[in-house]
Amino acid sequence: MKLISLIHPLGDFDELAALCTAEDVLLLRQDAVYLCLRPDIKWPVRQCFALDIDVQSRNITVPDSVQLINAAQWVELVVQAEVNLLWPS
Amino acid sequence: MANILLLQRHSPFTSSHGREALDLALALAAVEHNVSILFSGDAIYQLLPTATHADFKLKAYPRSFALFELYDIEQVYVCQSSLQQRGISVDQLSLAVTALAPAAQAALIAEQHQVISS
Repeated sequence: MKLISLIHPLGDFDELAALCTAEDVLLLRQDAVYLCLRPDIKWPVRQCFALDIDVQSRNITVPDSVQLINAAQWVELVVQAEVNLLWPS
Repeated sequence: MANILLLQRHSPFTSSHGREALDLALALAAVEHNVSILFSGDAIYQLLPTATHADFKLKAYPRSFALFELYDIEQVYVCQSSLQQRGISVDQLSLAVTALAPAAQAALIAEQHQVISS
């Protein structure tokens, strides 16, 4: 499983989809949590997470397709993942 | 009195640019300059409603945009294409602003004595 972290709110999502397989997971952090405001985005993975403190600080409501996690759960995800990627690098 | 445009391009939480630009805008307006502000790129996110969260002590400074009226800063603009790229409409913003197409932004810049990017 790859953990792909996003920290920017814009990017080429076709390029991202090409990187992903179904078992990979996405983590939205920092300004990438603003992507939750974009109803047009279809996440190219089975699970998409967002870091709770980044979401709460920006006063954003996440859609059902995104699951909030805290810092401890983020660490667990990093440990579980075979590969950790920051996208775009 | 000079026409001064503050061009904001940074999101509210990843740097201090937005906070510093706000302080600058209020200071310039306090000494009678004719201040306008254009939010472009990720600075659009500064205009979304914010919250103060108990777990960290960062002040939600965009609430201070309510001071613009008190300081007679009436010309507050947003870049139309930046809004569209981010899937945000003017109605979602916490402040009454005017969305400008690129040509209107160019005209606004042409009216200024100084343009300050932040």
